[in-house]
Amino acid sequence: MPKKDFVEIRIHGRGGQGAWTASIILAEAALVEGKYSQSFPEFGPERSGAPVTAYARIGPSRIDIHAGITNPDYVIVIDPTLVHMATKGIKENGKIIATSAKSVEELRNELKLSDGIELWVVDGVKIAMETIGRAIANTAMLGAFVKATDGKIISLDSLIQATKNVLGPRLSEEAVNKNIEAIKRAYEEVKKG
Amino acid sequence: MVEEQEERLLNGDEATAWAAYHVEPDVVAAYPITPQTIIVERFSEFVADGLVRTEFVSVESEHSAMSACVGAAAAGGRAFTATAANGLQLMNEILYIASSLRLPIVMAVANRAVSGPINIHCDHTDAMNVRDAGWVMLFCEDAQEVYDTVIQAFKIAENPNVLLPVIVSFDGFLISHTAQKVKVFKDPSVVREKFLGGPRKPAKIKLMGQEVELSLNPKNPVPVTFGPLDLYDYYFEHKRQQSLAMQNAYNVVKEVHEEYARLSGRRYGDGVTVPYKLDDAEIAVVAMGSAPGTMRYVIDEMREEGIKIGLLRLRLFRPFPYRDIMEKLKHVKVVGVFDRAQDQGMMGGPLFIETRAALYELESRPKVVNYVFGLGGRDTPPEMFREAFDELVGISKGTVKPFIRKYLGVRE
Amino acid sequence: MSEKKPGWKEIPIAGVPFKSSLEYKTGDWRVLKPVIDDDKCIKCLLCNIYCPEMSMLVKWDETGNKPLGVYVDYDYCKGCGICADICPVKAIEMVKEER
Repeated sequence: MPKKDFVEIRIHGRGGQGAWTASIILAEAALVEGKYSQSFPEFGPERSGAPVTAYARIGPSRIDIHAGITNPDYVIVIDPTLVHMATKGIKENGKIIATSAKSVEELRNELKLSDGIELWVVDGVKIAMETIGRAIANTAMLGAFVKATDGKIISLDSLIQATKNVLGPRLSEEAVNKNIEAIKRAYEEVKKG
Repeated sequence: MVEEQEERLLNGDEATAWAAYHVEPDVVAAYPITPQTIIVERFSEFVADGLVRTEFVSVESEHSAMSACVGAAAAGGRAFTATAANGLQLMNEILYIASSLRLPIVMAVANRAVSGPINIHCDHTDAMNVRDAGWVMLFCEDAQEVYDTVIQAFKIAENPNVLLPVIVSFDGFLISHTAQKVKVFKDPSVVREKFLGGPRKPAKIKLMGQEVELSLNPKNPVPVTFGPLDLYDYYFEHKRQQSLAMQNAYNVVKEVHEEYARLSGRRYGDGVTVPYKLDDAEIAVVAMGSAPGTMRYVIDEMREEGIKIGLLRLRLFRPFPYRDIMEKLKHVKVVGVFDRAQDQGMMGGPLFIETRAALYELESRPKVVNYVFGLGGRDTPPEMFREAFDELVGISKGTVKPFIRKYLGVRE
Repeated sequence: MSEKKPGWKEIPIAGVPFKSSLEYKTGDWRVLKPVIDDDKCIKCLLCNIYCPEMSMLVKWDETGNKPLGVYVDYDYCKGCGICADICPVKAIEMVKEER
């Protein structure tokens, strides 16, 4: 019997910033923990630089639902210019984990968030520039996500392992390590508001 | 004994490529088309990495892809390809040739709407357009089933009582691009040797008093010719043979499914249909592809409210399992058939028409209505199915007037 | 259509021909037939090479190396006339078939 005991996650980024890859890492991290997961991109053609969306579902039992995610529990924003898209359809007690140079308070006011929604902010782009050397904040924001969810969806260790599993075959060991550094820094630096 | 397996995060396309890797066909000829492209990409990586000895043929069109597979299979090889939508339509004439020459080719189809207007998203119109081409057709619900079914398909196709090509369908993007946990065999030889029994062994036929291999094998004592002119004096007899082969495929699909289950530990109903909470159901829904997964959540929700509703998923579409449909739906009052394909000028979608025709054989028949849904990748959320299922309840109670077909999820 | 043809269970599957093509004597398609003038023939064997039906047969000496002459397999020769056309010494004449 299917159980609706999974959480739904939406990731906003721009083509080329690794939003889909971030959702794959999340799903892989669930696998590392022996959980079940789904990861899928916004179905359709991707264009470099255009706003893109990726999704993930994670839960302790089989996930048989095959439909889009319209009311996510969590929204992760990996490009600061797309933060205004975060609120669309989010659950009343949902969480937004966004990259921004702005303070949590500033962003909270700007987005006019209702009280139930938690906002977590970290300058993922700055962290990415300082660690990876490119403005690709996908892995950093996953670190922030783990902090914001208190490691209950996936743990930091699982995230790091999953990052190695997914990026290992694609990048050099050095580049993978820099991504892990970005994850750890964002995990430490992210602030709640 | 269940064989050792490992868990991987794979989407439907990758699961297909992994199945092909584990089967190691002699020839893979394919042309990329969304949403099937990842299959060809991954498989070509397996070839480049030396994991398979498959001859990978990059062709210039799907027509050529299927033609190359016809040649490879006629030569006695194991041939595999993958396509979708317009690619499948371009193959169309060769599909009939493959089935009539009794070539056990396996093809993955990542179901996609057929242009136009141009659309790359999921519906079943592409597969439905080739439903009369003489191919065995299986529809999968998720990536795990895709991996399992592609492997099974070779054994079904090559069975000497079948010898027909097989299409393994799965929903474009919804399955092809959705990564999930997929268990794959740790040792490919479980698939290649243990399950498939090594390289393909072409069937034997009698020709001029001698036993020969049904292939273009130069070692045959009497040469075999494939594809000569076949006019009104023999064509009909050959078609009659194909009908028998298709009929035989029904049992073979079940047997192969069971044999595979003993190695994998996984079953999908009896391999032909997958019933869910049907035994005491008064209302039944019939569907194929990934939608049944979503529907089960809605059915559970309604069951908790005390509504007796169940689901019949067809895994096998060709040969059409009409006896199973009669048997499994004979006790229900209302049947809703969900077609993810157009009903251009027909009484309803293809799945509806055939399901309804099967139920006509019953002495006392349920009401059967049709929903056409999800065309061109239109989202299929649980709420949408709930709306339709409530309507079916209404029909069973007499509060909703029965209809022939409706379009579910279209804007009025 | 008078001969009794086999039923669908009796013939091989896949539409493969089950009779030898040797049984199909295409010689009766012929309107003109090639006739060889052995006196003119220089045994160059061009007709043997060019014949699309392999119906210009060669008679060899006992060593198998030296051609003694050319003759027509009238069971399969369709009378296309390529042999007569290709013959460099005009030793082959196409004459009306009398049946």
